[in-house]
Amino acid sequence: MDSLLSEIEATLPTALANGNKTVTFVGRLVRERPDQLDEATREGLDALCRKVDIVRQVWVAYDASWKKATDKTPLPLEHWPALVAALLLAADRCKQESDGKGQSLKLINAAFNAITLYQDRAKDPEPPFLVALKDWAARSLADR
Amino acid sequence: MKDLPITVLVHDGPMARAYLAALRASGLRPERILLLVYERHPSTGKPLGRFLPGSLRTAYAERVQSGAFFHWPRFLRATRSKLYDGMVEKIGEALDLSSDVFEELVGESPLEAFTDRLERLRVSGLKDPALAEALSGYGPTAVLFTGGGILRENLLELPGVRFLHIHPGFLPHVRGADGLLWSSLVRGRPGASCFYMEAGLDTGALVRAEKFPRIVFPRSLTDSLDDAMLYRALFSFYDPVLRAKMLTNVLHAEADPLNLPTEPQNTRVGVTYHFMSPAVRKAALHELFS
Repeated sequence: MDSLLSEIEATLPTALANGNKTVTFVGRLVRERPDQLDEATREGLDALCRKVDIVRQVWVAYDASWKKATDKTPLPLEHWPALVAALLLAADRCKQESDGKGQSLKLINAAFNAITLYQDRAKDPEPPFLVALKDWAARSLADR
Repeated sequence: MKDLPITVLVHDGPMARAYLAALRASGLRPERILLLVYERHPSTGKPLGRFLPGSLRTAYAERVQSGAFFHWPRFLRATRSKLYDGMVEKIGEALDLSSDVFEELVGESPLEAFTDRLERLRVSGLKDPALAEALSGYGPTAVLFTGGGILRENLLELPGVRFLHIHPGFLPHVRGADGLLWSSLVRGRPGASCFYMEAGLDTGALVRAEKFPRIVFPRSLTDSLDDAMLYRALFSFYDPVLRAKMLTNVLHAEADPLNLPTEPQNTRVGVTYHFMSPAVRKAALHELFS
């Protein structure tokens, strides 16, 4: 998994800007891999689950509450692997918590949906990193 | 049969029929049923009977929506009788429900069989001002909502009207969509909750939340049915009667549906789930069929 994460990190901008940019948010999760998720991170993840599962679109930037898009440019395809990885990393963290099983499965569910959305949009729907992300999601689901 | 002071707002389908059949089995008859007849086809969105005169148009639209809303329960009962019979037996036993309740899930009885006062309202949807107008004309009343999702403020703020809803999840822990599946996957057993609706999704004042026995259906019932069909079977025959069981646990002959005792929900607890992806749904179905 480390090599996959390194590969995904390489797709991220070198400097992650401030502000509620989607790539900043998921990029930090992928780079820093925090042991625990703070409240703001949980709110952002919950919002991203909603964008993926219900809106089925992720924009590049949102307001502080994650309710309104401040830049309605679709998240570039190159950043979708980071989005999926962030959801799965967070799912792993939630699973460690005593009452985190439900949240963990919700994040895994969003990761599967994000993979499908990526495949719907990408010219190459099955690049190697996506296969690895799918395996990771399937393992996380099986280990619930 | 005792009249229950409640208006059942019928978005026709197995869920509404399960409520009505379970109330009848408990000796209760709702004061009024308001049947929503949609102006457009539920699946295609095409206008229904627009060249017909008013009453004929309503009758035609009602027939078409009945065909659409009951398509899967009727299809499954007719073509997968082993699955249907097996599910009815297991669920009926676990929830102590008579087979009469299940027979109503395919919507063959006229709605007049459940109340002395049936009204029909042709609407474009729940946002149609005609619905708010009709409900506000009833005076103070509890309204049993038989659809899904959330209601707009124009309905929730009607003076004297309170909407009761049964959610297929143990609140406050399981909110949102696919409650039966998420409950099975996360908590290992189904749950249901009754609450008065408010603007948030499944966050209203809680009347009652209950856990129900786990039911596992034998795989042998399912033949070679795919996940989509199993999902339809659950939402045709299991989810509706689970909710109906909860309803009759709350409403009894002496209950005042407009003023049931409530507790506020702790909205900081629990997870609001979304519809399941095929992979996660497969895992949840595995908990239910094995």
